[in-house]
Amino acid sequence: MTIRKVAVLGAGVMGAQIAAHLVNAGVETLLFELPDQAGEPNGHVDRALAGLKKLDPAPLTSMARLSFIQAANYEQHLTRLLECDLVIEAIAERMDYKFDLYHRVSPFIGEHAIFASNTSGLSINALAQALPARLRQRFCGVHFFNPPRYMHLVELINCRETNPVLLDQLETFLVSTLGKGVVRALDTPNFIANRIGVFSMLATRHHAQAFNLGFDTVDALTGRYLGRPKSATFRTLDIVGLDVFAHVVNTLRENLNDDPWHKHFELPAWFAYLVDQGSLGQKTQRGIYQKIGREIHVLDLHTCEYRLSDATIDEGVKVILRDRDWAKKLAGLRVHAHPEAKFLWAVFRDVFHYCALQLEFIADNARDFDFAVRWGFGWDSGPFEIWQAAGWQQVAGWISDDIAAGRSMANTPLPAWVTEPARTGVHTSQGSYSPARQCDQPRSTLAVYRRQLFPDRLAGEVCAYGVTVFETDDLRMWHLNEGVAIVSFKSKMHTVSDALLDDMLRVIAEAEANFSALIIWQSEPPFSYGANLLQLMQGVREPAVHAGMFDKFRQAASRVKYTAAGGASLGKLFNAATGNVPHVEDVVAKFQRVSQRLKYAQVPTIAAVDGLALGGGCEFALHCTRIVATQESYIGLVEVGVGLLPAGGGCKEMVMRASSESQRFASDDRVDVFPFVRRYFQQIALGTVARSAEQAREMGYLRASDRIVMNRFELLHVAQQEARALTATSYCPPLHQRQIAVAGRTGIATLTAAMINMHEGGFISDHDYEIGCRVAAVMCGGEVNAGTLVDEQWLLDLERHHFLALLATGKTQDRIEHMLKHGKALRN
Amino acid sequence: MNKQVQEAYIVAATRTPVGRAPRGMFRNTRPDDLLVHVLKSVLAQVPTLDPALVGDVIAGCAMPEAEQGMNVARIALLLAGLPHTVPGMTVNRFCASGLQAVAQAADRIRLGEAEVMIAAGVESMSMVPMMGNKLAFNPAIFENSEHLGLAYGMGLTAERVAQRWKISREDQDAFALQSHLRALAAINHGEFKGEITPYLKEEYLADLESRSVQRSCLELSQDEGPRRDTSMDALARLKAVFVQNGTVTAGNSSQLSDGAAAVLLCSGAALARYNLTPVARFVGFSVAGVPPEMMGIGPVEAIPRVLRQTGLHLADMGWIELNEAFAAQALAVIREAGIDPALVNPLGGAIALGHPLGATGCIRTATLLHGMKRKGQKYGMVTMCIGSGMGAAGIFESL
Repeated sequence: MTIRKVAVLGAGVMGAQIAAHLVNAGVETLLFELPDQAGEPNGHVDRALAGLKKLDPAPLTSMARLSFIQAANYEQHLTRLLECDLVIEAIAERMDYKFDLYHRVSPFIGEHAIFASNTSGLSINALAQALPARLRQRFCGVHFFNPPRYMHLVELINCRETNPVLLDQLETFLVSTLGKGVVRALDTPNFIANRIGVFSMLATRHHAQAFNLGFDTVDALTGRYLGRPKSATFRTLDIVGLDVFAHVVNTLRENLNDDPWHKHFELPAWFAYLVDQGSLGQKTQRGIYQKIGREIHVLDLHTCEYRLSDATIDEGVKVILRDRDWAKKLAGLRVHAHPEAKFLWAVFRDVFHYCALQLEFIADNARDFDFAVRWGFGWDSGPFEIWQAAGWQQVAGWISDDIAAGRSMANTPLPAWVTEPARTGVHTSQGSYSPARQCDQPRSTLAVYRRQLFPDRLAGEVCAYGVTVFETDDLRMWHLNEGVAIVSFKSKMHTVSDALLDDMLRVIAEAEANFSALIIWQSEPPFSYGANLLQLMQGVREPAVHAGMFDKFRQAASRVKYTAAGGASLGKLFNAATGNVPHVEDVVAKFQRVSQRLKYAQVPTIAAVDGLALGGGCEFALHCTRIVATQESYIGLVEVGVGLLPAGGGCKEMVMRASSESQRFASDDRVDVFPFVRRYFQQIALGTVARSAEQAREMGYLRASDRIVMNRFELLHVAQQEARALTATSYCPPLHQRQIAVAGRTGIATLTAAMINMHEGGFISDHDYEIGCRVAAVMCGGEVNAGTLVDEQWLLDLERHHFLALLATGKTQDRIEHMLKHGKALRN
Repeated sequence: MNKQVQEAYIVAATRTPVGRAPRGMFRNTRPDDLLVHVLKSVLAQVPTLDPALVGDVIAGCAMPEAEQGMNVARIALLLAGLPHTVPGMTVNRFCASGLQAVAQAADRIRLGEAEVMIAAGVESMSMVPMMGNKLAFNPAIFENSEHLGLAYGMGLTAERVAQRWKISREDQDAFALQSHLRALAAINHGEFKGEITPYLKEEYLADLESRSVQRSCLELSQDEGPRRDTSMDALARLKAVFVQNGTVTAGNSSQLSDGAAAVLLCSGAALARYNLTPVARFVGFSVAGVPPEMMGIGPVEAIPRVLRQTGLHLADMGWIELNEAFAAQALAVIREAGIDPALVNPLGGAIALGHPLGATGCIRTATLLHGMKRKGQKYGMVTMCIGSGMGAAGIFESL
């Protein structure tokens, strides 16, 4: 069965957002709520849909998607459930409510359909009792994480009667159609991710109190230093909502009487006090933290007052935390005398201890366990991965010592499998350990995973990326024996340097000679942050011919400064100091050459975009034969942010698109390119970044022929299929366009008028105005009559000319310097 | 001073209610249909007059293109059932177009070259946006800084006026609130009943349930713009939109609107011949230019000019319709020209009632003539500022 139509029951926070994600994926979706007795029957759903527009981060990939969610209510539309292949229940977490609803809807669940609950805490087997026996075979739990568009994890939980074939079908749908990461969980309270995530928070809170650390200090310690989200522990609680968290802890306390840690499933008095006061976190603007003006304040338990938050931590501890080696990190923390270090070790110890004991009861194997925590809580590494990386036996020994010494939160010894002498961890290239089966469990063989050529990896798994064609400092060209070449960048943030441009010219020539297609694919996002700004700055500071010795020295010094700001190597610093850097104009021309080669190569070129594709990265993608992008791609021409304009063919490409659109929509041969070019001008002049691939399509960065992929691990597979399709249909590169209509002088004047109003109104600076005028000049094809026909080179020359003119200005150089130093755009 | 050969009299004046744009009650109503409606209505008020006697129909429109393009006056008069022997023309003086049409129609009569004329104004800002469907500035504007004002948005010019004449945000908001309160009171007292001819709106929508075209009819008789929910607080909360930290907001600016109006004029001889009762006498009209970036101050130049022309004084005026393009410019004009604020817009202005650009001059003429008649006043004025830096003022004598 293919799932084509889905009903979501319950238009609450989760239900409405799940419906949103379904339409993001192009699935026909009905959203049900109780009928509104007061007004329009679908009033409740309509209001929930209106609420979706305001949520941040946006649950919809495009506002236009909203209209695809069909509103329905249980009074008028129950029979429409019969049309659905999947029905997801997402109403309030009350057994009695759910039982009532199940009784009501079960006669209308189609004979073929899957019925699933999005419950986060209730037992799936208990819920199944509300259903007739025939339906129990088609019932399961499908637990999405909030926000469902962005959180990769979905936990799939069967009840005793669930038909395994249906679970496989549902998993296929969740993975490929919705792009999620599916983990099979056992039917235990709060399943895997919440069980462990919540325990980790409780342990963190427990030890924070024991070591007398403030919430702000704890968050500074338990965030990015541990490879977890910046919101760390208590800020995450504020986002989740203190009331929601209390409810989840309550579920644990009520249902896990035999858990050796049961006495710790409690919340302290201050927690209840905040909840009673209505300080529930972000949704009430106050919780453990509070934003006052621009300052973040934090609750201080000593004074019971809010004070300015302070993220400083001990310098010695910081040095340990900066180490990327988990073995050194944990060993260092364990022996360090500072309470912050002792606290961190204690938390790790008790979380590891808890995970080791619970693994066999809540998950099939350690891979499911670690992925659940990673994908559900945004940790870079799961608890077992960290343990394994830190040295399995060593850490196990330390934990056992602490248990014996009575320092741990519970005194149950580690399970026997943990301390088997031969054990070096739980993840191996054969699979991940399953205590229940007492063996390493390989990955799922479900057909859908064949689409994932390089699935998410675990520490301990090795991965070989095909056969190398050639490799340089900046990129690697390789293939998978399919005749399709793949190029992956090695530079930081996959930025484009002068050397990478040379390499790309070689890659394209090599692909034309020996392969049927070329794919640009990165093993990790981003696709590319664009041009290497550092190198640009170095080029600008190239000594002028007549500069005196002092000037040369000063320029060399500033080159070193910029190079150092970008964290470059000593060799690069030396090159910078001696002025051994490429001339900027040559680099820009080369960039354009690479773009044009990508476009006109004798074999199809495919940009497989995931994550950010900014500036030059976007320009590369625009020139490829096809873009295959994940839905979570953020594409934009953002050069104005550093005081520049797209000069790698980006402006040119958008002008060409405007011109062909205007010709398509022309009436009586009267072509007016201006309205089309104006849209693109605005996007470039404002540096707008698309917030999804769907939005990139609306903005014209993706064409009708470009593809959107929901699961980023399927990206390379789809790109290869696309390459095959292009090759199979006798690919010819596009013919050179020599009749590109431009908006000319009148277009420039009209855009200038808009900018004058913004400038005079104080909305843009003098330099913004200058940049805008130059973008307008390029986008309108220069000072020519409106409707003049030009060729690509004409536009490329304009790009280069205005790019260099901007780069020569002090304010643009200041912007670049600021970006290199602070990673943020400067408004000057 | 007065070189005319005969007087021009207004015998009928009417208008549609004014709708909000672009999502208001006339969002699906074509402007030429609105014009047809007021042409029919104004003729219906003089049933003894044979429409074939109309010498010309002059309609003002500020963005005469698309649904209101192609010489909308000629199209509408034929659709209104006037014989094809009656000519028509469209004139454009932006926000003064409707008043310009009245003046031009009067001039034909005053010159002795016409006996009966219709002047009108029409604008659908729902269908044709401000600045039209295709904006294309002349590059020469930007070659010389003295012409940059031509590229200024109207809001920016209002900020310039506010700055130069020191009109505070509070004064602008208070003026805006007063406009709404006056308009609401006027509606409550039925003050607009005489001038508005209700419009029967027909809509054709797809009914997806019954799979048929659903035709609906709705009679509209009341201006849509005035807001009951406004207050100084609500106005103060709005952000300045044209200048960072400026004073001009959506709340103290005129509204985007749809509407139409028509006025029937004739000579003294025609009054007698066709047994018509005059409502007012057209006294005079004047336009003047100011710097484009100060467009809102235009009336300050036009008003003295028309007073000089007509030999009248501000003190003679009992009622002044001063178009509220922006509270900032209206207040600057009131202060600079020395106008008694009590005489200005007693029934509210464009901030509350709306400003369908090319129609406004004719609409406010209708308001003035009906109002003066009710209140028994003698002289009144319609004046407004005009985009690209002009002002216009016309004087009428109520009879």
